[in-house]
Amino acid sequence: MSLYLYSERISFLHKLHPVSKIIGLLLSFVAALAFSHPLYILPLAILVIIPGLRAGAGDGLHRVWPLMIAIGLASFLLWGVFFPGKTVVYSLAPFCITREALLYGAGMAIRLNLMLFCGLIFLASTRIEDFTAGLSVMGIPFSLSFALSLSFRLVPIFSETTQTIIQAQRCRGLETESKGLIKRMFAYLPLLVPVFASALRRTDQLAVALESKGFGSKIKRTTYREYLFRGQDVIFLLAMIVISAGSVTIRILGMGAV
Amino acid sequence: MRKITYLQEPGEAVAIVGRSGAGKSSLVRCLNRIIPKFFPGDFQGQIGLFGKDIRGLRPFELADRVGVVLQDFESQLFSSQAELDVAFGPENLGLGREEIQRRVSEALARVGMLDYRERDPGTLSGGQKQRLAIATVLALHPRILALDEATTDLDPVGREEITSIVRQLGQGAISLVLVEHEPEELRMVDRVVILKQGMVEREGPVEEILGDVEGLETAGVRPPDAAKLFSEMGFAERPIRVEQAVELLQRAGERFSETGIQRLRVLDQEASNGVGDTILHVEGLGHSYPGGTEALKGVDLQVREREFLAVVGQNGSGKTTLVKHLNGLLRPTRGEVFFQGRSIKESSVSELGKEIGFVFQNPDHQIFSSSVKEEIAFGPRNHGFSEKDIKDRVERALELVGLTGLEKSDPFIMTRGERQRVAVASILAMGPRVIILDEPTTGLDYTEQVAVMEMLAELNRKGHTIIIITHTLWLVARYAHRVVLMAEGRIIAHGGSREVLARRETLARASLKPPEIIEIGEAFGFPTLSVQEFIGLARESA
Repeated sequence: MSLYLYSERISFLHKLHPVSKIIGLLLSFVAALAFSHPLYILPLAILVIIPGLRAGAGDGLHRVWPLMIAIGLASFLLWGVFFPGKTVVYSLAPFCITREALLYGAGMAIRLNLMLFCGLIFLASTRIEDFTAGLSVMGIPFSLSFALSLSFRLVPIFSETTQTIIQAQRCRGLETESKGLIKRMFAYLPLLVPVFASALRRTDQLAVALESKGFGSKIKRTTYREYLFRGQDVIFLLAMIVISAGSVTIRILGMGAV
Repeated sequence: MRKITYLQEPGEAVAIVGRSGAGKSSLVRCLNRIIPKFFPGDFQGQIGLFGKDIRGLRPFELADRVGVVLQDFESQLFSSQAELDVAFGPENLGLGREEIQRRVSEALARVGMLDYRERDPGTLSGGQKQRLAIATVLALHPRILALDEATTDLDPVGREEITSIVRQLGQGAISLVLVEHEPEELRMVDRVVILKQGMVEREGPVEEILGDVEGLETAGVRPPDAAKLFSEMGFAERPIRVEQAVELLQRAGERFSETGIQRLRVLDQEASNGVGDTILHVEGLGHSYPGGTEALKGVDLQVREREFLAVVGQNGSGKTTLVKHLNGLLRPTRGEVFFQGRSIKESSVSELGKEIGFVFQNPDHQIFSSSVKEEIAFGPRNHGFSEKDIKDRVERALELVGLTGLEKSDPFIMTRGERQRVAVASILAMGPRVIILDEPTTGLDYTEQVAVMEMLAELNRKGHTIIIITHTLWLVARYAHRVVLMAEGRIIAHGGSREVLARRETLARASLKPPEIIEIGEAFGFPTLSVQEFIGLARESA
């Protein structure tokens, strides 16, 4: 299985400068956060579906859909019950479900999933190295942005090692399903020690490998890939500014909230 | 390390050998100041590269002079595309884009990976990853290239590929420093340096050092079969290659005794008949991983009680996937596994663990206790044995693996060979009849490898069925009764060790080569599994 959500294809979004995509992602969050009413968020969600699928976010969607459904359901149920409202739809003391709460719950569910989907579109159309380069252009120190990109690489590797360790201990009769919190915590000890020891060893080796290849040098770093700011970036950013500024304006005018 | 004086000429290829802990890796790590930068300690002396003192420099300041490739290639690759990994070093050097692009293409071409430039390194095979790791260093245009056991995890053909790439590099302007164990790889260098307890024990031209059988064995290095054979036969010559040995032996008029050959054939048959009934039985086994990779494509296998079976094949041939089905760690996508005639479908890994033990390749993936005793007691305790019983089991297991007296030792500070023994003991303590070991000798020096295999042979003699996964064929020749050869998820050959290991073409399909002693024997009409067998046949004839 590939370690990344990146999708190898040539879409409009793939061709954009990473900085445009980072700013675009942030602006999409602004637009999503502007509204709480589902009828206002829904058009935004529909708007991103086609470019998102063209950029290959469908693969990521395929991998995280259970999480999206869980988030959607949890938001809808929690806000649906606890959001204060006036128009009672159903009442069972001490709880009462209101129309406002249901709308707000639905709005939150769509909003969170919209933001998650925008994140997926970003990852599907942006290599992690391009993301790092984009952050560097925006003035974030390379060591910081590189550390962020490494975490994407290390998580699946650590998870693979953890699976091996779980198998090794199961061969020795380890059961982690024992009852009682304390017992269960102790049951995890044979897993935690080797997992941490192996993670420490690996990060140590990684640090050695990085510095052996010149990482940390005072020389100004160059990039292998060339990132050009083109006309399509201007169009994309203008569109994103219009959408986000429009959303904020509509909200300031008193619309879009439950 | 203690007072090491080491000199290397520009363009020279030098191998550094020695037992585990002799200071080989430490010496390599001093070349670009990983020591003392990452491993501080009492550091004395001076290192000069091309006439310049490197004291006070940091590893990144030496990146364009010294390239170091480590054994664990996974930790050296961290990009989402092969070419980006190669570009990482030149980018850090602040080179212009065109220059980086030129170097990336050049480095990938030198290791034969140009066609893979856009691949995600995570999806490459072990050999390809290691070649890529070398390319990432070559792109820095180092004048010294150091490989610290960089081929240990590869199958023989993968090792040979890397060796030939490195040999070509060595013929150019690059100076090579290799930390190696295997004589096949050592033969390519100009000079060998033997380290012992942190000091240079001996150094000399490769022919001279590889011919010094006793010296190599003392240094924890396996001598070439040819040299070992001549040493044991009492000849003055010390050939280090098969062809040399065969020519000299033919010139000396050596030949095999026909009756001796017949006797060995009978012994092979007896060994095959001497084992018990079928204990594990695999029928039409298929396995596909969630990503869709079909790792096993219909495998049938029978393992008999008290047999010593070796499962061999190249990296990614399905060996580990196969044996993980034998104790239920993996469940078949199709087909079935039977233990003592009963399907294991309904049994848990924990239940099967009492009968079928599994020792993982890396002992550090299971060790967690602060004492050897507690580590070994973990399995029996999980299975609910009484404290008295656990104590007896721990003692017996320690005795079997030769660690009696080390009950209170901290496994974390033991050598890799000792930790491997602790791992085996922790499985033995549960009293399994079958013990499966995945690559039990990886990362061990020759002396440790032989010690671990002798221990397994002893367990086998005491009635345990042993199944090992390996691609170290000289170990198979010496210890296994039967061999299962795998390639691309299928068994492509199985049978007695002598029969399978002599099938050069079939082995080649699995990226393997017959052990050298078999090749020497075959030149005289019979594939000999060990130096002793060869000598026996030759002496009988005389």
